[in-house]
Amino acid sequence: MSFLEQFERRLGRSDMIQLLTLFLVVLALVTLARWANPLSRVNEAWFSVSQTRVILLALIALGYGGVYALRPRSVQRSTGLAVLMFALVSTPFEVAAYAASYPSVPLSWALLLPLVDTVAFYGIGLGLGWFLGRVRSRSLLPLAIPGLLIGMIALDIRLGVNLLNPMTASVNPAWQHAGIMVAIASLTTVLLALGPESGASR
Amino acid sequence: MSQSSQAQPGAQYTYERMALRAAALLVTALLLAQALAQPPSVRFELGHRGEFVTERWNPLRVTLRDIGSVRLEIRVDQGSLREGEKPMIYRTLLPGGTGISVFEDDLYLPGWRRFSWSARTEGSTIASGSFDPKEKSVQPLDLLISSRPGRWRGQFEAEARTLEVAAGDLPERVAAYDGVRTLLIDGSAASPRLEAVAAAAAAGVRVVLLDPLPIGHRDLDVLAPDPVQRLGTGWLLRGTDPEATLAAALALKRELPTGALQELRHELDISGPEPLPLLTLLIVAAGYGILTLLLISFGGLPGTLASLSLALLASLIAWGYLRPERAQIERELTISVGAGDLAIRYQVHTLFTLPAGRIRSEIIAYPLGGIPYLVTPSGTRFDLDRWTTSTLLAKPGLDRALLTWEGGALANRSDSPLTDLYVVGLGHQGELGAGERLVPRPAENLPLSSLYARLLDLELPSGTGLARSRQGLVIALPDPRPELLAGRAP
Repeated sequence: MSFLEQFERRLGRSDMIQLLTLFLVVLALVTLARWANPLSRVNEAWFSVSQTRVILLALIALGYGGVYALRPRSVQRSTGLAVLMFALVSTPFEVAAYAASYPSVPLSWALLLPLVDTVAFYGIGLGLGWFLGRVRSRSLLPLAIPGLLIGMIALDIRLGVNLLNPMTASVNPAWQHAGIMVAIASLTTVLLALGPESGASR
Repeated sequence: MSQSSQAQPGAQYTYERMALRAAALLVTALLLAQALAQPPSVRFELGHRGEFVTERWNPLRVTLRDIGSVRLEIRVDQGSLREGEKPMIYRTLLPGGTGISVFEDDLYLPGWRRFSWSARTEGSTIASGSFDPKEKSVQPLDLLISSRPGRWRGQFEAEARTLEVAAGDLPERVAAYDGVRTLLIDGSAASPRLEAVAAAAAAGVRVVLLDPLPIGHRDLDVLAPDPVQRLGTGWLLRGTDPEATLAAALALKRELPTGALQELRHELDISGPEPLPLLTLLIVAAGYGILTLLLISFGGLPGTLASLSLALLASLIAWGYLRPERAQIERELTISVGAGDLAIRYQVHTLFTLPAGRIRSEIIAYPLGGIPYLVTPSGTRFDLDRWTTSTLLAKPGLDRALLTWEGGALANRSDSPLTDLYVVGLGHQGELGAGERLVPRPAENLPLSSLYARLLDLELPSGTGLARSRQGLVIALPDPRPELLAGRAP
């Protein structure tokens, strides 16, 4: 089975479709909730849409990464690309909200950060799943995935920096965050592309 | 021969004496120059003779003596204990040099709680100062050009800020007289320059000339040939009975003061782009989501690729339709108010910004609302939050009166037609072509535009002419009231 066929099948699975449906519905609701109206002419939609989108993408990427950490590399690759599709097909919500809100954040940042963060968090999820497998604690995965994300956000808040928190970074461009995420995303891509086909030991 | 041989010692003696005298004179001159030489200094003066008016434009004069270029910074904190610091900063570079350099400008002084200034050269502060909040006053000044000012002070009310000024110190800029109410010239001191008096009158000052004025004051006859007349937004009164003339002047009020223009800012309200209706947004978002899911679910690999193309297309359409054309929207209203040959030009500038950011305006102005701002010779700078509006009031300037009363007729002195002509008390008068005159007649009361209605709320005197020109709005103040004319020919 070719990689593209594998990817198409992976994306067409019911869990992915259901999650994508939920994801798009949430984005649509958030956009509508913060859209300008005759009572409040100020359009604040982008700030909510961008933060919701990036945190959901991070959570989905972490989840799939953690779950598929011990699967063959080809499955990890196709799953990773399927998760990236979430980011790509939700772009119009980001663009529409950005266009109407007219924030001072550069458009390139708003477009690229979710893609980079998705890949990076997928990689972090793979690492988390692999680690929990090594310590034979994969049953903790449902708790560890949101826990890790909350921990990263809490650490940023505690230290007063903007390194790991995707929500803050999405609306306040921070090159430290971008640097770390690009590094992790690059490492993930290299590992997925060039790593041994067998994937993690199981 | 013998005579000449006898004369030589005497001549030598004379030369020696002359040389000695010259040397002594040189040494004395050097010592005198040393004694009289003044050290380098900076003299800062805001207002008229150091008296300034809060919430008004005030003249600023900085005198440098034997100092190179100086960076002048004035910091005014407009905030309060509750709101925190809200600085207004005025910053400029003063080119100095050997000898005396004088720099003059006008500064709008907002309501303040701290006020300081400093003059810096490379790396060091050479002069600085601050003002006590007790000096803060919004009471306008009454300027007296007189060698016996005490004689006139009693004519003013108790709280009046009368000030004796030298004729040579009067600025020739309209904005410098924003905080001045009266200018009295009794002829006992040197005559002020004609330009300074004209600027004062145009700015709305009631100028009082107490006849008989000496010959040195004859220039002023050009401005004030009649006992009572308007010039710009101010008045020129003259008479031989000092008390009566001054009392008549003090009864006059200033028409359309700068502060009144704040009421006109609502004419320039900008509400931002029209939002896409929520129902339309819901339908489009739902349609896009359903189509994407259908393509991915049932379209296989081509469907997935088609969903990507759809995402790109939807993004482009959303961008093109929803993105406002401009990040900032600006509206401007220029109002020229005058009488006689002169007018004062006000400019109200409203700016609406979509993204938060630093606004750089090329006009010298102050923003309403007490927001922090920086004024430099190149313009005004301030920060605005996203989706907010700010109104700037520019420094007033001198203008030629475009619409003016000439006898009983309104004359258009501009080179373009004036439209929507309206006379307070008479009603709409239609259009007035370039160079034409019109005797206004009582007209049918048509509905007023909101701008005119707001102006009429400012209690313009009966007979005031309002019209729209290419540049903005022109206002012609009426001739003095007949009873004033009758009472004023002492």
